[in-house]
Amino acid sequence: MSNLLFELHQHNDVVMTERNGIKIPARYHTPEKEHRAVRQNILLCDYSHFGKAKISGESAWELLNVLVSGDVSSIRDEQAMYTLMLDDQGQIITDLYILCDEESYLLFSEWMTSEALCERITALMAERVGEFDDIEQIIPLNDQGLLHIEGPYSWELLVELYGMDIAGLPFQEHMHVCDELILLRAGKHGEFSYKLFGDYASLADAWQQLVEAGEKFDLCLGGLDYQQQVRLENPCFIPTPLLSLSRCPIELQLQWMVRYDKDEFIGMEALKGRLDAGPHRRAIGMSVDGQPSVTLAFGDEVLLDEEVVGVVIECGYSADIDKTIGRLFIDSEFAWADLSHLTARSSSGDEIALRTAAVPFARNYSFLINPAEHSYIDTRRPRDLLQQFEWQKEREEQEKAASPAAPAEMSIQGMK
Amino acid sequence: MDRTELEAAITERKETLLNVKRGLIERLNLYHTPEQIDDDTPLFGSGLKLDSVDATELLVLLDKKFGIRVGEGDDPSYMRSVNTLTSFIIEKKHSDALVNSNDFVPSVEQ
Repeated sequence: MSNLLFELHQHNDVVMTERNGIKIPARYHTPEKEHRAVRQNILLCDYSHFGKAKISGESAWELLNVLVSGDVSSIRDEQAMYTLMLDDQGQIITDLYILCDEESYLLFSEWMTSEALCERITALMAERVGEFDDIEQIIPLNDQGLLHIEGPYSWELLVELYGMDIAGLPFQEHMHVCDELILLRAGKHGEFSYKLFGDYASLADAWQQLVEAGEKFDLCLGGLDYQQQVRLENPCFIPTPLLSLSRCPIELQLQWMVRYDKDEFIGMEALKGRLDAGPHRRAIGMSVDGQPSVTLAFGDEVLLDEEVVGVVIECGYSADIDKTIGRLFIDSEFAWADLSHLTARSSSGDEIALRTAAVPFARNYSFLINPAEHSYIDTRRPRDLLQQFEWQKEREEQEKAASPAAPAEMSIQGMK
Repeated sequence: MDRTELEAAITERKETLLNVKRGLIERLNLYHTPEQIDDDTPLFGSGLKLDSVDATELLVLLDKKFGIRVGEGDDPSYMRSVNTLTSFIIEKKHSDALVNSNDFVPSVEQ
């Protein structure tokens, strides 16, 4: 595989990795530096490993509505949705974005190839002959890639390149920019996040422009390795290592991507049955203050009074909140947040007391940014809500100091 | 936390979560049942996809259903998920109970 974007990474002599059979950068810098950029500035990555497909025709939305657990009829042109594709048993195959774009739908999946996406859709059509008559095309989009721009000030950089409309682009909506490219606002890590979709030549151009314009935003180039830390702080669907434990949306707390009130979707009956029965085990967050000497890893036992009640899914340290955080897969009876009676036993036999926790853990910096009021580069505007409050307080104090006399004193003087 | 305290904490959490979910469904006219809403479901953005108008409804819900008035000093991150909202309610309930119990303790001056 070679394209202009790939050649650009090669030219930069970057450490590469492979996902979905596509070679993309693993890292441009250290994962710590790239993680810091996501949380504080802007990170630019190549996300071309996403499987990409296009489906068009009058029956396209009906076909997709059977294929995924979300309600495709709820999205209109320029809107997108984040949903799940399940198998007959109601187990997750992949998560994916569906974009309603003019007369067609675009599908982006992080965990399936473009061909696999198309095969799945074509197989459904073959199973249900005559139901979805008006399908014009189902095509893999291997000649197109994706850039990922993420971080609290990513909107401001994109405003500079593509215009003011970006600042008002709602979450999970998209727009056409520069004719050749589609910009989708969507992400999984809690920060402002955008995906730029188009042919590789246009994306290679966009990459260069983003790098150049991003300099004053302290933009950092990145690979995929940074995801390990951001996804520890903001958990999302990751097949590995989850697949060996569960692929059930109920157990993994991913039901918010399921619309049970739809007429039907693949896996619906099985899922409803499991919901009625109740999950045996569930995923729940965990935290320990600081960075203890005991290191926990996938599969380590979780104990309650020496009885094994589950296992560790993932665990790691977050310097941002100075906590060791992660997720457990434990008996539903104990899978509630804010409990402090469980321990985990590492492979070396050491035990550590932990507390169950709500996720996500990260207090995303983007929550403090309002594109209408804040700016990273315009020094006349505050950078974030905290600075806005500081400035406001300073202004009030200055006004108070500049006022001629206290009101009480003035009124007494007036009475005289 | 001993086993009895653990069971009490679980009972309190389950009851509060159920009340939060029922409150959200009623006040925001959601299409879910409580069992279909996961505890870690995000309230805004993805998840329940609430907007700024719904945020005001949340404040009314906290006031009317749980007797909680949100103050300026309260960390707004309680609005992130069903679970964080539940933790906020439980914490408030406990701190209010502590304040009220102190109210009834006669001071030395009395």
